[in-house]
Amino acid sequence: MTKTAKIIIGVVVIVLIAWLGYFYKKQATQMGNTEPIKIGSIFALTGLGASQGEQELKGVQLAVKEINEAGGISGRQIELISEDVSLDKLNVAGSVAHKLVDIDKVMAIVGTTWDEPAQAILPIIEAAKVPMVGQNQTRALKKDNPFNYFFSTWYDNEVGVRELLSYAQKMRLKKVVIVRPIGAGFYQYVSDKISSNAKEFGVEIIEDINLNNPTVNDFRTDLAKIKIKKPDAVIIVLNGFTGCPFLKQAGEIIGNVPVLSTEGSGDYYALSQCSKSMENLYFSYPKETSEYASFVERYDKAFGASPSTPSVMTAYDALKIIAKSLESTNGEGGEKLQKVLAQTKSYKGVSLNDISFDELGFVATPLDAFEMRTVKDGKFVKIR
Amino acid sequence: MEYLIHLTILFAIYGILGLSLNLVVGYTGLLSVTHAAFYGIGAYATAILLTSFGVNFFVSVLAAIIVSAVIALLIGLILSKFDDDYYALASFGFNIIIFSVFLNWQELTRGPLGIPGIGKPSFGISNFQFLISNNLEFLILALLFLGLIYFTSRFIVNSSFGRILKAIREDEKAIQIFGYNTLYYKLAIFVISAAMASVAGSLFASYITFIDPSSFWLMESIFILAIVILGGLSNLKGSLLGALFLILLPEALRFVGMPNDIAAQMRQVIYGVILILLMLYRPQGLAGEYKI
Repeated sequence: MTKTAKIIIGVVVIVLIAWLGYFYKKQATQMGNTEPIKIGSIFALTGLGASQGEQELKGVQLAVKEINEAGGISGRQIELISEDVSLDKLNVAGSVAHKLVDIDKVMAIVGTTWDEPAQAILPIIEAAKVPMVGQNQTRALKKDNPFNYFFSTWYDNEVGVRELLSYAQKMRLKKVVIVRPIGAGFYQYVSDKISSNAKEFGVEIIEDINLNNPTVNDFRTDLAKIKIKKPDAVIIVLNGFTGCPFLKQAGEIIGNVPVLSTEGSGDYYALSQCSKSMENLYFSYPKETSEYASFVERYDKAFGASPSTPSVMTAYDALKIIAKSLESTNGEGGEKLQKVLAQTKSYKGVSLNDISFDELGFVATPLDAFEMRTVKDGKFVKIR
Repeated sequence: MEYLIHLTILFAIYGILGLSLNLVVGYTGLLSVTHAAFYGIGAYATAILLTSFGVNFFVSVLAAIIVSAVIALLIGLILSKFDDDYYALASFGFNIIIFSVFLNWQELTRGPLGIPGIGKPSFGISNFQFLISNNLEFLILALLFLGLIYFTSRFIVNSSFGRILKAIREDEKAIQIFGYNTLYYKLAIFVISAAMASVAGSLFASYITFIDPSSFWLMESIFILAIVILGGLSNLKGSLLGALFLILLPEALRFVGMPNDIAAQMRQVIYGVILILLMLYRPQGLAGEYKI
């Protein structure tokens, strides 16, 4: 056989193998692709925000487990690819998003922990047409840069703030001091909402204190300033870690002056550490849905603990909504998935009885979605 | 491909930061932990000029360089009063001050909310306009800046000015006896280094399209210092190697199969162990000649 003949035969063999391989893969797709559906998750699992991010990941893992046990999406199991981005690593946020989108080829993403990493990722998922459903992004995120591939199952914080101020009005807490923890956009955003809504409820802000150091755990100087002002109440956006130090020190310095806060302070970790100090805390919190009790039971069974922050529920709902949408598109992502997600209406979630995305991709939060709570005898109780 | 382009852009940005800090730490022997501050000043200058005033990116880079240089001059004058460990501590303090300004001067920087919607670079003359519209084009721009900074740094270290810097590192008192005003040289290199760092900040702001103060906290200065030490003090190619290594190592660890529950934490542990091993067996860095 001549050399030319050998070359021709070799090329024909290679082309045949390539064609057969393509044909086989096409057949497999037409018969029903059994490859897992990849969904990415991006949470803070180390560093800043990890205490919250780890919980949110558990919420998503529970959702994945339940869906897979029920047969998956169109017969395909979900493969969750989890990545870690802390609040202060915007360059890592980009790396992680590119890796999920370009290398792992995920169909959708759940995340991130708070606004900052999400803001860095939005242009990437928009360009790649990979929808992302966030679990605790504020409305400040999209205000400056509308993105069509981003959705959020988080409540409208303004609704919770208005519930809080309504309570202050009912209790005739007219003169308040607002304390602004600083260090993340979330605190700033919610604090601004409190300031802008206060007047409507007859609440006068007599002092606005910035905690300029984001790592502060000693509030005594600021509490001493507050004591001089003699306010009816103090409003501060707390979380599970700042809650206890602040409340303990507040108890020592300003005594029984009520402390008002938002849903971040309703944290089971804080409850385990300082329930007595929390009896002077009054906070707005999302009402329990009809699915909530069952969710807590399943979560407890899976992880041996109660979900300690509302974003665990919203993360769970985010994954479930993605799965439901993928079911509608028969496992197809991209623009098709984005259109289905955008049309999400009246989804019965664990976080809200009715999850419907508005034109910006945020959840339209009913005005009565929140209630006031406090702590009595070591337990969270509803204030009637 | 986009993933690789992204990593290369980050390499270019951190390469600039490593090169510029090496001029101060490696060649002059001044342990500065304030580099993230100038990185941040560059980023904020570009972000504010692009979003609030619609200024062209390249003009904003120039403005960022000027602002950074002026602030570095003021800080450098104070830092020059200190030696050795006190210099490091004082630079540490300045980083915290600048970070606090980013966080609290909300009228200018929007504080913790950050500045979103930062535009991409564009340039043009008359009717010809070119807008950088994809990451590949941005990569080319970043590499051009990296090349410029690298050759500028090489020029500095190979010049007589550079020889004085090395002499200051070896024995400042001895060079003073020969009549050299070491304060002038230390200040000059500090300002030049800060100006270069601001270029990296401008690139970062335009590429990520969003900045907030958390990207310019003290830990970022320490990371940049790690690039210089790991790459090798007093070696420009070492800075590039250090940047490459510290960008790629955490990315490589993402592909090591581990259960989701512990993957993030284990990657941090492995990352730390690798760095420790490198310092144990190669304390002078990947391409360096001497230890810190």
